[in-house]
Amino acid sequence: MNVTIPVGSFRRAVQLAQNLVDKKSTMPVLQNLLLETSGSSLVVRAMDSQMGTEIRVPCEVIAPGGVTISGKRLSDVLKVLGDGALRMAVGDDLSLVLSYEAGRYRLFGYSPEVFPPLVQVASGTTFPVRKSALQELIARTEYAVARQDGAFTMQGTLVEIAGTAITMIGTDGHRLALSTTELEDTGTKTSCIIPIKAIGQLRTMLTETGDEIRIGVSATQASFEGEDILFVTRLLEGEYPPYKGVIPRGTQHRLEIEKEQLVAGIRRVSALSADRAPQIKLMWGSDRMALRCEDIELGEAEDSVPAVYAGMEMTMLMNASYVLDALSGCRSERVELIMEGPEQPCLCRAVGDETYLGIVMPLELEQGEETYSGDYDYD
Amino acid sequence: MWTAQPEAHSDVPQRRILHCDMDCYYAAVHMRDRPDLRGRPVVVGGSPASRAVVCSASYEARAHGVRSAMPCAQALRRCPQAVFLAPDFPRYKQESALIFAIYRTFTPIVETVSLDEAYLDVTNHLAAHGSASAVAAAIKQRVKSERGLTVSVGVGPSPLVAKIASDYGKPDGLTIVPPARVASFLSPLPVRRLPGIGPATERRLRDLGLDRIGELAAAAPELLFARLGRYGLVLKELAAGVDDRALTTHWEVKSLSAETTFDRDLRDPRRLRAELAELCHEVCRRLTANRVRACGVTVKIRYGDFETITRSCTFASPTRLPARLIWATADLLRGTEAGARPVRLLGVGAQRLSRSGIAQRELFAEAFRMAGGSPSPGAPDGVVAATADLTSALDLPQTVDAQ
Repeated sequence: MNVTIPVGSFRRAVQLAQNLVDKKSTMPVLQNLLLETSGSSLVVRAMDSQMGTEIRVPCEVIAPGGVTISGKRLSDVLKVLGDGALRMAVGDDLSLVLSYEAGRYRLFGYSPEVFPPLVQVASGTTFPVRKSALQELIARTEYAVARQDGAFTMQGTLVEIAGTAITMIGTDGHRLALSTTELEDTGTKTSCIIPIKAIGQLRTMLTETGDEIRIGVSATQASFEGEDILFVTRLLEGEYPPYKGVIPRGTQHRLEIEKEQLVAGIRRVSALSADRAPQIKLMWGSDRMALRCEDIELGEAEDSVPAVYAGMEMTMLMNASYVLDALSGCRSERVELIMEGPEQPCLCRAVGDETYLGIVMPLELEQGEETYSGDYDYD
Repeated sequence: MWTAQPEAHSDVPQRRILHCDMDCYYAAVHMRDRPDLRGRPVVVGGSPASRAVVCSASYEARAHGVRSAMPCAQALRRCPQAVFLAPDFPRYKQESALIFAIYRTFTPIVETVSLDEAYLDVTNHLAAHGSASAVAAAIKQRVKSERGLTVSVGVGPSPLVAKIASDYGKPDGLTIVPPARVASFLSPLPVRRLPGIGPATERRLRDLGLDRIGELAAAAPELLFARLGRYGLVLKELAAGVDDRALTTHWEVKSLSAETTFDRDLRDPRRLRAELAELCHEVCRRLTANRVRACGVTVKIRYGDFETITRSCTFASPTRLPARLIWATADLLRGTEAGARPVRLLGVGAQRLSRSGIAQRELFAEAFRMAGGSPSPGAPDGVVAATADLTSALDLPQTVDAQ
């Protein structure tokens, strides 16, 4: 292999690929990157046990070939170079020689054959989606996905593709976010669960690629291909929680409110709490939503925000940060909150916008908690 | 006799602390209930064929060299004629409640150390009997007549002295150490008798030529500090019988845990997850009984070679739902070498307990109940979710219990 490549775009590719390398991987070869020529480009490949990526950097190929090389070392070297042209050649001893201006670096590498191949989803089953639409789907659902303490399949985003619509759903069992967008007819009806770690990786990748992304889904993996970037991830296999059953269908308790006023009100009352997840009381009244936050040690705060509501008065206890997260996906001035009862899931969405909904389950105040006193009468 | 009269030279009345320690408690309960066992060597613990250790041994068995915490197999070799009994903890607990109820008729200040051990502060509760030693004698008499068991009681001006005194007269002992005789009582005893001194400290003290508590009490502070640091000075105080610790009558639960040692080391990931789920159910039962929720959970793994590791995570909101613990611990287990290496012991602990009484409601309560499942071994295997690897070379155990 012998190439001349612009340092700027190569450095970005290596850093992006290096992001994916799992430092704790049990397979030592995956601590490396694969560099390989393909046509008039150099392909940088990185993998861990669940995901893989290939980033294509246009360059001048003098002789084709490839090398497996430590991504950490390579990226350290590239950091200290300028943005000019870099000459890279692989010697017979599999060392990679980098020549930049008057400087020379020789890094010891391995045969390109030791690096595992990235299996792609067959091209017949892929369909296009706009990058901005995909980014919006991720932004509106990623926050709700479970981390460690959720069921296995909750630790991923559910992606449903049905003809002309793609929907993403995230839940941790306490709240849920759903976002949907129109597509040109994909001719596909399928669903899959993408691990949350892959979603984060995909989000980063998307910032580095062009506007059209091709998505492919097979039984075991999903691929996302943009201009010069390919990203492949394993899917989580198993049953996703029956999420459709928890979306409120009725509208008997429907409250309409200015989103920014509600957000500001929640922030004001929860300023009192030292808790990272303040518990706030929401009181639904005919012309306003009253907000209250109590802290046994610090005191209490009250506020209210004008609202339109015709149902019965009711009060519920909520995790304030969950409500703020749910509201963050609403893209309009006015939002509606819908509940079937004060102990039921609370749905938040922008008025007149069917492309997003956030659901938050209220908190429960246990009745009859005993309080103990350690003091005895001494006499 | 040490009486209730306040000391003339002090504003603070000298404390009167009792340490009550049942004599080979578990074995004694069985021997009381089964007259055919009396006079015979009785060992309470697991089967000698297993890895279990001795919980309690009667004095007849101790005469053959059987000791608590000794492997049962070894106990059998030392005393082949011993009767081995499985422990019956519910029974001991029930008996214990009755014995402690007797203690509480003498003073409300009872510090529970274990099912068979308690400290009593009777300083301000001497009126009925007149003296601490009379209280101690009355306690012994009532436990004997009402429960048919013997308790050794030590009386002293501090918990430390009372504890050493109760051990001094075992079994069925009553040892009274008035303040004026603390020094002469402790002085000839080996330093090992002091709580907190194990074999390592004993060795270091012996290197300094300190074998007896009296020698430790008289040792130069500089010497102790140079050799043992600050702890050396603490030991010197203890050796002098000084222990100002107040009794703790109410323990606040700070963490809850359950663990199990397998008869044979486990490798099967399914069995490991099933055992882990079982432990989660047990921890959740205890969380519920204590009216608390866990903010975090820890998995403890002891591999076949005794290397022991722990892995922890934090919950998004406090919980005592078995499903949440099962999911989190299964996730933690996946990040270890369990299965690839044989596992000897598994444990689950709940940390940072919340008493707030506010719980996050679950969206999928129904599905969770199914995931929580019944605590029968091997049950929580319902739907198996899996991620295989991109690289077929890696076939990590990735299956977990889902809904």
